[in-house]
Amino acid sequence: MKLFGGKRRLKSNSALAIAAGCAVAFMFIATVISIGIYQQRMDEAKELLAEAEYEQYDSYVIMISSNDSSDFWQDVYKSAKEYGAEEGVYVDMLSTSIDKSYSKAEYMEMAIESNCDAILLEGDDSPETAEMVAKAKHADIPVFTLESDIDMANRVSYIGANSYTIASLYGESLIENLTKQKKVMVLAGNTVNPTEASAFVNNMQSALDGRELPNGNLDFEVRTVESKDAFANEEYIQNLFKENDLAPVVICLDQESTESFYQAMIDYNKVGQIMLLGSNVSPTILTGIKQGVILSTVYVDAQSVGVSAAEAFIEYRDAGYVSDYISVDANVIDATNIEQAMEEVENE
Amino acid sequence: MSKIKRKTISLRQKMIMSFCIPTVLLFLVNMMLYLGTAQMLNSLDAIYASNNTLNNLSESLDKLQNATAGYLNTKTSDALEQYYIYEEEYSDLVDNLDDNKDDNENRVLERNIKNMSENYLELTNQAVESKRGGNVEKYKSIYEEAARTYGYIDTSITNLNNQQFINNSKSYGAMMTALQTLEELNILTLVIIGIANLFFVVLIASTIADPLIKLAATANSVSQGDFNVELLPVKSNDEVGVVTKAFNKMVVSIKNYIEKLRESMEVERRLKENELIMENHIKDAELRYLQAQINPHFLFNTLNAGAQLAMMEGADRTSNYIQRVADFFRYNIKKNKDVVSLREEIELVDIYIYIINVRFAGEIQFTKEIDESLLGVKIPSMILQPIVENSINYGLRNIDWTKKIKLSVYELGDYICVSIKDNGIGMTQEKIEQVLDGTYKSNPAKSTSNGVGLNNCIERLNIFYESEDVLDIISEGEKMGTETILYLPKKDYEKE
Repeated sequence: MKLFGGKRRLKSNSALAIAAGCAVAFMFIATVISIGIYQQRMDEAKELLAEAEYEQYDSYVIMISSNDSSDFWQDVYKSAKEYGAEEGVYVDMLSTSIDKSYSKAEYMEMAIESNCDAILLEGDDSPETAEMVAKAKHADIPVFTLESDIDMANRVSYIGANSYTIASLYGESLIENLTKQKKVMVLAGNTVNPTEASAFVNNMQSALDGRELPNGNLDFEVRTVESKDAFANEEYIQNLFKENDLAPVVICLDQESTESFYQAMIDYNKVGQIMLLGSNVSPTILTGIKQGVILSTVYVDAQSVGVSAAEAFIEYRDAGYVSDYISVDANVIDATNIEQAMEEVENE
Repeated sequence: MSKIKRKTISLRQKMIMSFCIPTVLLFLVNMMLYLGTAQMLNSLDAIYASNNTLNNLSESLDKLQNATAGYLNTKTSDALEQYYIYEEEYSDLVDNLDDNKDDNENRVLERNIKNMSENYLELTNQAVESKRGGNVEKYKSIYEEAARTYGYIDTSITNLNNQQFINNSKSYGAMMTALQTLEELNILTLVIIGIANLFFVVLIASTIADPLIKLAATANSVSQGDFNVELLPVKSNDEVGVVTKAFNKMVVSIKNYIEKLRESMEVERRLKENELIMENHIKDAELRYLQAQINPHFLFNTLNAGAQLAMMEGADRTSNYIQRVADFFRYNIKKNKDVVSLREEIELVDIYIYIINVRFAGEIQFTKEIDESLLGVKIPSMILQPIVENSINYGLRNIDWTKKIKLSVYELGDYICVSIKDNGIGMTQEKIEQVLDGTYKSNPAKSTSNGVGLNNCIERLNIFYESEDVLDIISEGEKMGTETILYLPKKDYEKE
């Protein structure tokens, strides 16, 4: 009974009572604490399970592009989504929530079957797309085209850069650096259709018309990739280098081709021999410009496209009509403004 | 033992407690774990409920698609019935889906599934109706569209299912963590409760064992003869407490008994001691007489012969005197018994006074005032004569007035008083006290005593009566005489 220490010797019965009381009290406290902590943890778990309170949207808009995962379209999607969220518009890109890869037409059909309120579509001239656009029109779903247009009759509005403006930017960049080159290869990847490529060449020629060139008028050659198979662009470019089927000036009309061509130039030791003009912006392309491998790139501001698209839909929804062409600025990045462009990318 | 009822816990109760409390505690902790686990299992059902719903939806969709294709293939009424059953089943499940407008990827997907499913149901209906109407081109194209939509829905359900599975797994993980926390807490609680219980059992065991060990140790001390052990404290009123109390009682009564025994032995020892002293004194007195009187028989016979001679010669007074002297010595000879009657003692005093008066020409006036009824009382022998001798030798010898001695025997309360009073020179109070406490030393050269001193008398009286106050000496001062009084307890006399 010395456990209580000191000279205070307790009567055995009271010591027993105290010991029993302490044991029971301890048990009680320990149990309460345990249950408390357990309940807290369980509540946390249930909170994860519980339906959160979400913001409600008024309109459901689906964006469909030829390459949803590209930086450009991801930027367009994000800016449209952000802008739309403020105005009660939920902008969705089906490929982000569905793992299976579908064609543009299939995504369109899904969008139509999902009873969406509008479709933001990267236009093309394929009959499947045209069929689905018609189906959407039939289902009273307005279609807005981005970047590339379709038949004006079936869409509500086109949001994109003026193709002549873009061609002029390339032309300016080319004139500044042209020495005696005469042949120009216009490389359109499989996301760019031949019609667009031809239109681009026409615009280039118009833009360069009346300008003095060191070696007279330029010879344009359009190369398009017909195959839609995986890695078709890359294989096509590799073949060009292997067969030395190249031109002193190469203009790539999409991001993927630009990146592949840039890498091939390094791999085949063609840096300095070919003047490469690219499209769009990516870290790889910016690095290429910084290294001097790529002369310049022309890009359409993705954020402007996204915001303009969302704006166009909202205007159409609220007013019942919207301008059928909404222009978005195009810009050029070359050695003169590469540092600033890289900083901006880093900041993002 | 106090009558206040203390709350007591018996050994049995302590043992039951030491078993029951840990059992109850362990039971509670286990119940807690069990309830926690049960709650967890219930929640698990809820966690994957959404997955189950989607699985059912997917299954039902497959059945409906197969049934549609089956009917379009065969056009049998069985197949049509199948189609209607699954169409209704799927329709019900789709109705349960939430037509929400929540700003969340999964919720949007759920909404899309609902919308696509409604369109799909519409398409299958159209396909079946067209088939029944025999419109081959139409049902084919509609079925193709329905099949594509089926694919979209199936993919969407799979994706939503996967996404929800990921979310649900997070909840599951959190719940498992909660359960793990509960387990850890329980283990900790069990360990601490185990320690507390151990402490508790040790406590109970020690409250049982400690008093027993102390009791045993004390009993050992007692068995080795140490009765001065401290009484054991009674801490509890349990069985051990009862035994301890009984033991304490036993020790106390043994102590008391031994004390009484010791006292009675002491008394007995004192009595024996007194007897021995008494005997010593008597022997001493006898020795002194024998030394002093050479051969009393020879002296006594000689005196007898002298008395007869004096009678034959006609000297009656001489004959009488010699006869009395002879009687005096005869008393001394025959008094070999220790105790005599007061009468005999007084007779001796008479003879002594006669002899002394012959020696001193009858100058001592001896008077007696005696209650005859008291003369039978027994007193030690040779007491009165030495007192009278003392009165004559120290009180009366050198006075020039009439020498008087008075002997009185009377009753005073519980005592028979024997008073020998002279009218001699008296004694100072200081001297009286010295004589009474035996510290007075007379000048031996001056002593004319025949040897039996007053001291001897006082001591023998004290021993005989076992009292210090048998003899008292009273003197009112110089020339006022001295009275020596014996206070003999009457109860001794009456008993006889």
